[in-house]
Amino acid sequence: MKEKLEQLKDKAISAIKEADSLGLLEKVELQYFGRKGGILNSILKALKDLSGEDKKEIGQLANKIKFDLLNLIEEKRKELSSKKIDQALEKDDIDITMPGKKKELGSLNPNTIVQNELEDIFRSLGFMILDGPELESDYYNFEALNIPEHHPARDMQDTFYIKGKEGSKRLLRTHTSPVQIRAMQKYGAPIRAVAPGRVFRYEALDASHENNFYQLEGLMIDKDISIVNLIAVMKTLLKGIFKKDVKVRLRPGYFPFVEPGFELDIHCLICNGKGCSVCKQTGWLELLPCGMVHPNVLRAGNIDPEKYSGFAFGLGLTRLVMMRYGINDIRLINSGDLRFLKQF
Amino acid sequence: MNISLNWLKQHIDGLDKIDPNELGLKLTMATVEVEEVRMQAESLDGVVVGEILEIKKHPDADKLSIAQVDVGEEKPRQIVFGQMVEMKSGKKVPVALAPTVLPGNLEIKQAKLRGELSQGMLCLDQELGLAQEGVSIQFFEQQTKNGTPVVQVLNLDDVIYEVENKSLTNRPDLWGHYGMAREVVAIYDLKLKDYKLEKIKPQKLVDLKVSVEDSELCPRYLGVAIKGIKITESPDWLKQRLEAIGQKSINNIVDITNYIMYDLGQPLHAFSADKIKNDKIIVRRAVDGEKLITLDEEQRILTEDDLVIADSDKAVALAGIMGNVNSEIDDKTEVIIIESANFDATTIRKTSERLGLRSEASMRFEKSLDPNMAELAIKKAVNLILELIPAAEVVSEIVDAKDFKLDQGPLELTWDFIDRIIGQSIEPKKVIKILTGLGFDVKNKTQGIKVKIPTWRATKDVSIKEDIIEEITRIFGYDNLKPKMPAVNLEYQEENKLRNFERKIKDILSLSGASNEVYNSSFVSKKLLQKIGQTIDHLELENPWNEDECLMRKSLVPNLLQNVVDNTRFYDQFSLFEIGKVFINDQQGELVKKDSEEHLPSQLLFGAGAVHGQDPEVFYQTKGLLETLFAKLNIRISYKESCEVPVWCHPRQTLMIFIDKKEVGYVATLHPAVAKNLEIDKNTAVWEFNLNKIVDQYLQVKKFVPLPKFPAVELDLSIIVAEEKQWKDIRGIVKTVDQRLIQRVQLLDVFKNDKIEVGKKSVTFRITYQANDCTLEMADVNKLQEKVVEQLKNGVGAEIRS
Repeated sequence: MKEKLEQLKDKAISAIKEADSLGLLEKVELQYFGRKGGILNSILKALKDLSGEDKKEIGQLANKIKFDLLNLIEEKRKELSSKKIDQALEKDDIDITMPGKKKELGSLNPNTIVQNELEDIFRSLGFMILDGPELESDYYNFEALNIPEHHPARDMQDTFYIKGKEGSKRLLRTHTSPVQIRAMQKYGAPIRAVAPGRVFRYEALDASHENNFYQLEGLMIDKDISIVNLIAVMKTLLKGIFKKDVKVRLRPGYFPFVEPGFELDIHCLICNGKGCSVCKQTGWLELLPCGMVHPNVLRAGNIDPEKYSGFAFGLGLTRLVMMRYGINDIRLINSGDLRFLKQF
Repeated sequence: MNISLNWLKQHIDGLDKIDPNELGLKLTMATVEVEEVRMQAESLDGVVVGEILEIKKHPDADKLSIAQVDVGEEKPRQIVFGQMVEMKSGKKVPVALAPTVLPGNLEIKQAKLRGELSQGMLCLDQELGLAQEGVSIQFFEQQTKNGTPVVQVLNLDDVIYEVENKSLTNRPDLWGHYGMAREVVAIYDLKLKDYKLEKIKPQKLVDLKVSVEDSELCPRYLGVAIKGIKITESPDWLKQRLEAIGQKSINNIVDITNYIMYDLGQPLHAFSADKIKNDKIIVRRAVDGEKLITLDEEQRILTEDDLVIADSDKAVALAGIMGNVNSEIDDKTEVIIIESANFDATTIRKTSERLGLRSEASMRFEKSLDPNMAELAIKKAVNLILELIPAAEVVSEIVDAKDFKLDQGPLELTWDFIDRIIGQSIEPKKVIKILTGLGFDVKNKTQGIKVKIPTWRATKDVSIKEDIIEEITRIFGYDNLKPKMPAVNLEYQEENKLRNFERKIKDILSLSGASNEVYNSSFVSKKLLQKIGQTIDHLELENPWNEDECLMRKSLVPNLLQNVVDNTRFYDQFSLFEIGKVFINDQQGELVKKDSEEHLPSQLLFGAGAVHGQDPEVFYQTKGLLETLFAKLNIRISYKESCEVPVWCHPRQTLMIFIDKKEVGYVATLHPAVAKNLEIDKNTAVWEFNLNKIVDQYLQVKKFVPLPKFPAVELDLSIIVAEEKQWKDIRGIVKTVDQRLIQRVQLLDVFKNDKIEVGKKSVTFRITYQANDCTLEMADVNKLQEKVVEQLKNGVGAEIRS
């Protein structure tokens, strides 16, 4: 009986080894282990007729052979199926150098991209994001900002006026600064806010002048806000924008709504301060006019200048967009030209 | 404004030791923006004195001539030149020897001009950077040796600082060299020289009278008569001063008045005394309609807001702006009256703005000059006239009509205040030194300082404590301050819901919507609107840059349509959108001033788009775009047809968008007539909605719906209905069969072909049956489906397609 089993085992092993397809292997499996007529199964069934020691010994042997053979079949099956996949793979060539099927996406205007970024920077510093009317009153655009009628500073801001009744002048805001006053009146002190938005200047269009463009106004008012605070916040802001420490210099600048007023220049990013055509050979770029909010402006915003102080700044958003992407003609931003827009 | 270093040296000792470039930088950092530091001699090494030996015409060019020029070399050089100024042989002129580079990077090379060799260039003042405007040339004295460098002959050792005028807007004291010298002195801790004046001993031959009618408009008026005037050329030193800063020398008297203006910042005017009746000067308002002819030979019509200088008969000058030709000095003038006055800044500015007439004088007066400067200036003028014209005699007293008061403070600043605003403590000794250096009179008290403002800063410029802070810190050096982040209370900052909403919309449209965001001008062209056919009741610009672009947009669509037109050159299909403000001609916006009754026009945030592509898909594409958008925004919309649609909408292919019973916008096929006028040949659809109306519906939190517990059954159905039957009705009928179990009705396909009767169409859709509480039996579903079929037969006359 033992011998018979051993022979059977050898035969089965060679049959398994010889099987060179999954079909043949299945046949072999059926031949030995089929429920009906499987040779090994039959033997195992026949075991119950044996008795005593034989039954135990033969039984153990038969079970071991069954276990070994089944393992062998399983191994062989794995081998054959991976061989099958391997064979299939060889026939499965596609031209993987052909272009991918792209999902058509749209684009955001570069101004939006940079504006979003700036808003996020300021949110992270705890500033509110505000906006205000683009068509403003003379009061908010000039008077409340300490620029009375016939003030020479009005020269700096060529203004578009709206046709209307005499006396009540309406205009297109020349800067985002009117939002300062509206914000102070609405929220009082302390306040931390920025207001990105569209502004207008009465100017001829050329590669560096648009009459519709964007600024970002910033305002921070609290107790004991100082000039050194202003410098620190501006530096942090620039670090957020340029993702690295930027060399800056502060020099006097005159804006009637701040006192003292500053021009903040950054080291020219194009030539690294060596002097180039972009920075007019100076190595510096004028980027950020700023200053301590003038007491008259605080008063116009119903804030007591004896109790509070603060700073304000105005960032040339569109200018920053041009710097960021190296756009050499400001008119492209408002052109609606898809050849430009699709690049972003 | 140009500042000359040599001129500054006249007022300061010790400037020689300072590097001119560094001085420019320091001025920028502490005072005004210096745009350029220009060495006069720079780029002039290749320019020498040359004598013209012979001139002949160029054989091949009418406008060119050929000169043989002795430039001190062995052989004369041949130079081809144009006839910008008259040239004769024997003249000595500046010659640029090729090869060299002139100011402005003008390269001079040896070359053939129309076949004739040219070995250099005869140089105009403008080409040498000696004058900014006009056409003029230097002719040298005959004894000047040929070949001498012009730098040497012309004493071109000056350094010119070009100061940005805007950075001087608030500094009336810096419109002359003396004021600028004061800054330099403070920056470098040097000493300002006294402004030297000789004593004047007038004869009283002329009884000069000055009558100022309104001292608010003219706080001070000084005049003096001088006889024995002989109009001649100015001496070299004077010419050189003026030319260095780019001013042309005219004659001795004009040059003296200009010199003083550029020195002290105080404009002067000289009248021919014989043209002033009875030696009496009246400063008065003009009469409405009064005319005068200014020195630029323009007739000016005045109003009573303008101020004139007059005698008893006539106006002789437009005060502070320009003289009248009727009192101009000329070669025959023997007696002059010098005016040195102070005028109200606003009056001068208003007049000069209204007349569009700006002069060096008006630019200064409108900055609010110090009336004390007028006295210094007239005395200096008299000194110079007597010095330059030995025969001149002062024949009247210096008449001085004055009524002014300056607020010189004092301002009191505590040390605590100074430290608090600067945020850093600056040594009291240093503070006092800085202020004193700038001319402030400082009293040191234990708690702080008491600062008296010098007259030249007291007109407007310095009036509050904060102004003093600026003086201290700018001279201390902003770069010497140590940045420090503010310490504030941590606080949650309210979000800007409208901005978040706008950003979200932009993200969805640009990403899933495959649309490109454009920015258009807030202006819209009248011509474009006429092409589109929109009624023009827009807000209008009073001063548009060009006549056509004169309206404020009240919809974003017209400019988007222009974008469509522009882009069809390069693209067949595209989707554009914009989010921006529109302007409504009403009075319902924000207040014009706090506590006022008046309102600005409403300014609403709109979103709009244009989709350009294949017919008829483009309408559905566009509708789908909006449906995706609102689904993502979690806002439920509905549609209605309307007979009132914007002019650019196809009357039968427009849906008004409703949210919560409010109409908020529309989606439409572009009206074929508009498309034709704009020459848009492919189908285009547009959409627009008002973000302000929707933002409240924008709930950022979406409610979760539990997953279905029981399986759904999906059955497809194809029916044939009359072409005009609408999907909305078909879907409605299906849904009403069982609102609970019919979860979804989804359109799959609509088509017509030759197997379908004319006038009919096939509609295929999928119905999803599903219950929330049990698994549906197929038999029940079939029953419902049969009911659907029957209702469709009754409702829209549907046949089932086999």
